[in-house]
Amino acid sequence: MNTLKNISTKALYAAAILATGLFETSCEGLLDTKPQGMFTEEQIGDEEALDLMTSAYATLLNHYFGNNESFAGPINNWVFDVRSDDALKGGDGVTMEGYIHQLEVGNVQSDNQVVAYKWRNNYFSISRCNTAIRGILASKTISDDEKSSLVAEMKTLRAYYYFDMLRIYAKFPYFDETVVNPSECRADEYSRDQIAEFIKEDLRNSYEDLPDIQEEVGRFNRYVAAALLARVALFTSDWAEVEEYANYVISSHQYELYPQFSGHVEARVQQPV
Amino acid sequence: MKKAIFSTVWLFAAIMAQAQHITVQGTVLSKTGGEPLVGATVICEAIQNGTTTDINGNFTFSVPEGAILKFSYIGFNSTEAKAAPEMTIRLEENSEVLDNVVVVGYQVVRKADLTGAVSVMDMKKPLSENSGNIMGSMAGRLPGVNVVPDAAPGGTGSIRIRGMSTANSSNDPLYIIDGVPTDNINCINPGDIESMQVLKDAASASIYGSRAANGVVIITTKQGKGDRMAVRVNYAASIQTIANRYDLLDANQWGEVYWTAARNSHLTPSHVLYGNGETPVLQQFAGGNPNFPTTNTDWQDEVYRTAMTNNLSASVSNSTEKGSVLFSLNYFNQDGNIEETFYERYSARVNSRYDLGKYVSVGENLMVAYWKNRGADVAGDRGIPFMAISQHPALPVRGLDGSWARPLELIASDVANPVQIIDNAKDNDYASWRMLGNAYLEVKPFNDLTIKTNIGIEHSQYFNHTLGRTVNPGDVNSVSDVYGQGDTWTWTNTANYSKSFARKHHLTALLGTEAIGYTFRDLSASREGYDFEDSDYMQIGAGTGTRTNGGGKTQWAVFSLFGKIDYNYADRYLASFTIRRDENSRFAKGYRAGVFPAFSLAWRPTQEAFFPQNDILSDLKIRYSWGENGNANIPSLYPAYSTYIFNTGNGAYDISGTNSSTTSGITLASTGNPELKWETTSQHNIGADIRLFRGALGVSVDYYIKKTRNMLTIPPALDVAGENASMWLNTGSMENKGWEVSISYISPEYGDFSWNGALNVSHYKNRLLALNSRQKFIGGDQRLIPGEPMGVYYGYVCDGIFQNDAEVAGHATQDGAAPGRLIYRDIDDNGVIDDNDRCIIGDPNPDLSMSLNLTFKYKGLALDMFFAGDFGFDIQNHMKRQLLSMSYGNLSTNRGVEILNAWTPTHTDTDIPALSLTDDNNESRFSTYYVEDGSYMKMKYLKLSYALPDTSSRK
Repeated sequence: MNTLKNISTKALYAAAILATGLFETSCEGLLDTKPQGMFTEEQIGDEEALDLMTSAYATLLNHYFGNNESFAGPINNWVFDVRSDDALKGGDGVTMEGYIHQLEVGNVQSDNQVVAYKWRNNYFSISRCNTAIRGILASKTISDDEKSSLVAEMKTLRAYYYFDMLRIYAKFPYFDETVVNPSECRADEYSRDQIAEFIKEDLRNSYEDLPDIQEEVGRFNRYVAAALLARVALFTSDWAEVEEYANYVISSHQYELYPQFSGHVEARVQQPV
Repeated sequence: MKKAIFSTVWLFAAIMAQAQHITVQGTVLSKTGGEPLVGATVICEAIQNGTTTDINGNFTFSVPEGAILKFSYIGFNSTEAKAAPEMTIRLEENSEVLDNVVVVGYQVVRKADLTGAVSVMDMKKPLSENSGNIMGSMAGRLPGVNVVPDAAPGGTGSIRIRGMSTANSSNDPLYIIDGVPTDNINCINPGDIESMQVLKDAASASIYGSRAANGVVIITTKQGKGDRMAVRVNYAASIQTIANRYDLLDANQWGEVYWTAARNSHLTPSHVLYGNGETPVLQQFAGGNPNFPTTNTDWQDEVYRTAMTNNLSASVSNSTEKGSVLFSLNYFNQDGNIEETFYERYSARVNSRYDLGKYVSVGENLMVAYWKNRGADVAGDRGIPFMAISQHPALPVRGLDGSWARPLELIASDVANPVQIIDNAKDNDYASWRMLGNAYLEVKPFNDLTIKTNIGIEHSQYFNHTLGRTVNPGDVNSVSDVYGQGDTWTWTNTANYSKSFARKHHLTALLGTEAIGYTFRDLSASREGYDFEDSDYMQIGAGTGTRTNGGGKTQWAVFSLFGKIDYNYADRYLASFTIRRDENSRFAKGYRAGVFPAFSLAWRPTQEAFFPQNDILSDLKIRYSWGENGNANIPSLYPAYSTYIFNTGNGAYDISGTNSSTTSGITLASTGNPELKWETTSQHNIGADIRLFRGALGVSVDYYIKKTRNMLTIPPALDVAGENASMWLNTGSMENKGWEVSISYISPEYGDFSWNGALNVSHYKNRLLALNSRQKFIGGDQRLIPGEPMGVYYGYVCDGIFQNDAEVAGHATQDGAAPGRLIYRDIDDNGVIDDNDRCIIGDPNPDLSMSLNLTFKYKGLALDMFFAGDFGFDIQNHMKRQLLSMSYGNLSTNRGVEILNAWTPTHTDTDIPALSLTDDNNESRFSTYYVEDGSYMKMKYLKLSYALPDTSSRK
């Protein structure tokens, strides 16, 4: 009798352990961990397209932390002044910020930081523009008119960055939002003239689609597109186009020049952001 | 004729007598404990045959009457006896041979049965230093295990087993404490460790499958033992000092050197501390401020101190046939060598076990530790040691009124006053808790089967309160609090079946499941703007300025199934086969599972009947193993997902033109790879364990080849793909080959004197086989280059110093070349010194690692010494840039005394280039000038001890 009790107790213990062991085999939920505090592509809905635009605009603030933004930020071109007689590098000898010395003496090495980071910062900005355009076009809640206006804003911004690439680099890849895998683009696919034409075409189209005044003043309007187009046309020596679009901006009387050249720097310092 | 018949009968009788066998029924027991010895060998030379004892220590053997039987068992002294129908043999334990069981993969196995490469840490040898962490004592003890301890108070360090298997993910081994896997072994009181094994080859480690690619360290904590209560008290105190300090210039020498350097650079010498005359004149006051008279400060002296460590342990343990319990307490207090740094820990442990009858037992191990510590920033240019070296000697620590000397104000130097930095941080409060424990239930439904369920938990939490006091006027002060909490639970179920058939066949089978879950949460807050800087006021809530907060959560989980079969035939042929299937939450569904098989074989020729019994070779085991392990320990916990965030940093823009706030935009935070899978390491190991001269000399040799494939790396993406476009990929492979030799010797007793020693020698060669399809190499000064060992140094070759203009002219075009400047070799012979003149200039992986442990005993005295060394590797001497050049970094920083030996046209017999304030020759570029041979050998400890005779201390 006792042995029977013994065996049954032992069997009970053993069975309990085995049962719990088998229970564990259905642990799928345990393994489906998801990133916390972040969201995935599937969660980006229609409203988020506007937020993608905000981050594209944010590239104008020059904050790509760690990518040498002081010297080679997306809109930062002051170091190039050493290439002419505007400025000397100075500092403690040729090795201090040596890559700027390379720009100064015209002996730019392939690992020059300004060259590398400018490329990177501009393309990071272009990729934010392209992502925003794709997000806008895919949205189902935004009306078509609104879409063309928003896309025009992004195309203007993108045109600015490609223009920056055009005046710094001899050859670089050009791709718009329809290109799925930019890593496969070649730098020699288009000639400089072709790329300049793409830029101006984007700006002309944006000029058509953008409103004169934007409710959110941080956004680009028609005058921005026109002014940029005039600038690009100046670079490509298309004098007629320069005159046309520059006059459009000047004659609107929406803008005027600063009384002193330093004015455009002072204004930024006064406004806290 | 009569004689013939008589002799025939006699012969016949003799034959009959000889053919008269008796059946011996005997038992072999251990002399000390009386427990039966399973698998002890019984050999009868006369008939060239033998047998082994069964699970009860019994044997049956048919031998000629009166034959001599020899009994032997690993760890015991052999003995001989004459055959008799009933025999009980008691074997004496060979006390010099260490514990003969090891814990390997959910089982306890006899060392003799091991078919894999396992290093056992001798816990009876003195622990190397008064350290709160067992890692310090492991350094150099185990062949193939490289330990780099950390000297900071409470510092941890790292362990590398058999080279480095992987490039991007962690190279840390898996730690198992009492069956519970954990990430670090930091708070474990070394006095609580009963045994420690390191599983080095794939076959032993593969039972731990997915996280064992870098080896496994198994720690078992002490249980109550013996049959009476034991009380142990241990106190150790030690003192630490900085062994070597840098020899720096004093205030007067500095001025002279600076003046020479300025002239060499064609500049007019002038400095705020030394005036601007023909010769440097140390000004009376620093920066013209009468509150700060110039002096000669030894900054290293100000910052370092001699530090004391106290380690107090007490334990009570008891054990009976019903169960056992061990309770131990430990207080550890270590002051750091940098002022105000310390580590103080209280820990308690309760280990108990209770047998509910013969078939069920329960038990638990629990450790609770609480510690406070304060460290100092020691890394790089902004660390305390570097600040102490580079701070100008003429500056005082404080002004006459007691205020801090601020180098930024006084001499426009951005190297802060290190004593002020330490003082500002002296109220930082970092406190942590850690609880690590497990509870188990073990059932033996019938004799050969054991079923066990084990639940382990680990809870750790920390609260770090950091005060950011002002250094210079205009700074904003701040307080930052961070709270973090991590919880890990492990649930393991195993069934262990062990059976012997026909005396000679022993079979053990293991089947198990394991589930592990980990969650980490943290919360941080900081505020700026405190009117008072005393520690009672500086709490988060009191700040009046900008507020920031953050926090998040991460988790991962692992689920596994595993099985193992061991077969042992007459202790001669051993085989084992393991398989484990792991699913890791890091990878996406469909790629989660990894299957890791392994097998190992061993042969003990000395157990063969044909092997002659001799006094020289008493045991020989030859083993081979092959297995695969996995690794998924990358920093990212969700590498399969592409994630986005609302970016409040560089993705925020004032789109509404408010002039006071910004709107956050969406940016891509990381690109995911849903096809990411396991990194796998496969390893071949062949080895032999030899015991000679009745166990006095033991030799162990191993040779291994380890290959890692599908290495987890995160190669860079092209910039045109946008930001954060790079993702984790399985690319690349790595190979490690090496050998380990371990020799131990125990001398016979020469009267009252005896000695023993252990020598470990090991070598490994590491080679990166392939990287990825996009990069030819990764890194700058230290590189990962396919075909080379990991981390090779890459730079220019320095060929000495230009002695005159003719040498400069005759050399390739080098920007900045001049007499007194370093010569760089034109490697590609194109006449110009540029980037292409770099090559591999050093290898940080040692050619040979060695350690030697000697113990001499005379009566109660014992003298222990331990030497360890690594040979044939290069190290980078980055300090040379600061110490031997006037142009590196901030020009007002201090330099080494050796700089007085710099090259001048009249003093050319030196390696140090001429003094200069401008680095026109780019001499801070990485070259052989900064690479040195790092080979060393050091005596890690020398210990003299005396043990009181037994009777006086046993009450």
